[in-house]
Amino acid sequence: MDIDLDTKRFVKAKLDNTDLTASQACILLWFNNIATNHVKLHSMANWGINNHTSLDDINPFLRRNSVVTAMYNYFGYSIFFQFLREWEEQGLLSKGWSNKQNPYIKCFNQGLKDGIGQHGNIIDLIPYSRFVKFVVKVRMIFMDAFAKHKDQFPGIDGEVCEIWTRIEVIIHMFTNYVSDRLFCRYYPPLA
Amino acid sequence: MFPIGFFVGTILHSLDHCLLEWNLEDALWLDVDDPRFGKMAEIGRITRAGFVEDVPFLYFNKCFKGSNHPFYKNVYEKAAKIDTKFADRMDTCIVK
Repeated sequence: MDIDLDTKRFVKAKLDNTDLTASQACILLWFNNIATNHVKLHSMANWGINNHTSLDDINPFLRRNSVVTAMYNYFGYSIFFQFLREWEEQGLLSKGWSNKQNPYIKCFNQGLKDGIGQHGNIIDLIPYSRFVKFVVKVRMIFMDAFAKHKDQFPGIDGEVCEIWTRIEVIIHMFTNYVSDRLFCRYYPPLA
Repeated sequence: MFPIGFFVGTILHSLDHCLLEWNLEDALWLDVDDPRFGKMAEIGRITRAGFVEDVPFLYFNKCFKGSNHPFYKNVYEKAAKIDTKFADRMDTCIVK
């Protein structure tokens, strides 16, 4: 997909050497994010929670947030597919989504299996993207504040410093997809 | 507990929802009649309509903004100086 960084407009998109319309590109980008990319954020979040009961005294806010996140992730993954049949019957989905092959959950799993690639040039987008600029700066603020308040966050892994450096990879994965809302804005045709 | 997972599960996750919300203002923009990708558009419409924006009527605070905890307060105040619109949407947990 080609984007003009100066005008922030869609230029062209191809899939397997076939030209795509802006509408088709919009569907593919949207589906790719919700079905295979966004789920990685949910999965990563499971490694950033601590719901041990000892937190009730030290940091009850973190404990409550951790419980909420764990429950949402659990139900999101284990229960979501059960809605598909109902939506098919209501006519919101065509047949096939709820079949035994479970295609939507397969997409989730494929996204998680693929892991997170590195996009080393993401910093180059800072001048063009309000979002990339924000995330890169806030990441540093977050990590500094975390170090300052680490007594409030027990159970931190010993290899934390190495992990911090890998944050770049996550940002790259995320921002590589939608780095600015204007980049992927789809303007429907006038009636 | 990994700080990277903490960052991703709070700030990155909630801002991804923000971009999903702001980039696709109307679920019907996804063309379910497209011969190649219409099925993807179907599930995309449902996701946009039902799973992108905040769940209503939560009885607890789930935002960096408004938190009295020193860590979250500290991060919010500094983030808001960079971009208030994004900072106001940073969540402290996953509930969407």
